[in-house]
Amino acid sequence: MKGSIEIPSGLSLLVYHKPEGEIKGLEEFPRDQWPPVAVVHVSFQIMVACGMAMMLAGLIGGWLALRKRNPCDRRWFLGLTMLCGPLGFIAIETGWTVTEVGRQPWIIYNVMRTAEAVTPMPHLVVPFISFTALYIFLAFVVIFLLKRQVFQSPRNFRETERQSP
Amino acid sequence: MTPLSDLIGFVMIVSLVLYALGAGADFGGGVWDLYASGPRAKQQRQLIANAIGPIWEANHVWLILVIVLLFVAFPPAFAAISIALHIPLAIMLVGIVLRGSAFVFRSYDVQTDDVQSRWGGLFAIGSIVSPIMLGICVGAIASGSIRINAQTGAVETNFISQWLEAFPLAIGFWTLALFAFLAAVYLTNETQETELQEDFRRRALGSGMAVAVMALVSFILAERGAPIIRSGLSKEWWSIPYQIVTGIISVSALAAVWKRQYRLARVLAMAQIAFIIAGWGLAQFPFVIGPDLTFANSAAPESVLNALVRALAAGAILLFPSLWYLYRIFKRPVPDPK
Repeated sequence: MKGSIEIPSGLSLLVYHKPEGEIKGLEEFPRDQWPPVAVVHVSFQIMVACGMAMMLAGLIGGWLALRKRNPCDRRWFLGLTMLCGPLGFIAIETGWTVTEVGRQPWIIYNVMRTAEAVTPMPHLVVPFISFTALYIFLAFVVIFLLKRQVFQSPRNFRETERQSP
Repeated sequence: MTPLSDLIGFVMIVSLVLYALGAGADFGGGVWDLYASGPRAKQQRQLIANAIGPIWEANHVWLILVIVLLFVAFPPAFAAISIALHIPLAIMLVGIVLRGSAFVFRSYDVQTDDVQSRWGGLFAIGSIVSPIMLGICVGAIASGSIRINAQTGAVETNFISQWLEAFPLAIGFWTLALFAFLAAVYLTNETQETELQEDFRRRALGSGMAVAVMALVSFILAERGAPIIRSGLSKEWWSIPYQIVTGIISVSALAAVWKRQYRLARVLAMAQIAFIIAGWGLAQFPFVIGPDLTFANSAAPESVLNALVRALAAGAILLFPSLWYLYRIFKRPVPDPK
């Protein structure tokens, strides 16, 4: 790899908490024990990218503050912060995807495969669709309610303030 | 010495009792939210919301504990129940999610009436469906119809006929009536306003009668629908005295409501529920799922049970003071701002 920075035994320390831990490459595992590689790979990169972007936004804010300029006075910085809003959620979701898809095909590593653990209940597509629909519905409700909170409550609040001096 | 598996079974029954006393009353509150009526309908709803308010999430701790204990300590029973009762369990879960979210949405929403009442509807429907499904699951487990294949160890089920039967359905409606009764009795204690107390006194008396009727129906249906429980409840040396005591407590609870002794009624209604659930546990002991799975033959290895009992002890040290603190903060009467 060109221009790479090498950290000696870095991965071994991460995985085994000791420098001499042996890291096996994916190629050394039988093919039928591979997780869906592309999904895990892309999710991991999205997660790291989100983290980096949020870190960068934080650094810019810190730099502005160090130069004695209130970051909140700058429209572009507020816009940037707003754009970072969803990134935390995306990072959490892609991170979950990395761990959950990454451990496939095992549900308990080396003990039981996910396919062996699934309930014999037929038509599992029904609960799958109903629970997905339920949570999509709840997501829309949350967005709708948050919108109402943000656009309505301060006005009401001011009115009540005015009424009771 | 009592085997560890029996000890864990005992803890499961205790947590089920605590779940019924806490979350059961929340479900019942939802029922009374739906039937709020008369000139004080709005105050009734407000009282229910204030009573349930901050506690409802904590109450589900007990159901989670029962489920975790079941899958850690008795994995074959957990597998059999979650496969055979997939449908009622899934419906119960949807109900719990809907009523929880509807309640939160309604509480924190900016007040407007049409949207508010829609959340109220969802909250009430969830509150009715979930206890019925919970009761159906208990009824199905008690009925002895969930059988395990002796060779493969797999559960034999068509996913429907184990729970869609007269006996589990009767237990479902009995559970609903019990929770509604418990909630009405609690609510008479939650207000000082005589008129509101009278509203919930009438509801407690009505649902108390429904509890008695459903208890009788369930007992009759148990003859064919749940032979293990029926023989446990009538042929053991303790069964007749136990039932007499349960009956006396239940009648006294109703009498206390009738005489407007609400504090006494609350204690008796709680004791009634505890006796009913414990009676179920006693009647079907030593079976987790009769007649194939006992606490002993479905238990996880001894080392797992050992670690589990230690974790339970450590958890109890953390949990009980926290719950006590939660109730102390939120169930204290609100000081008058004036």
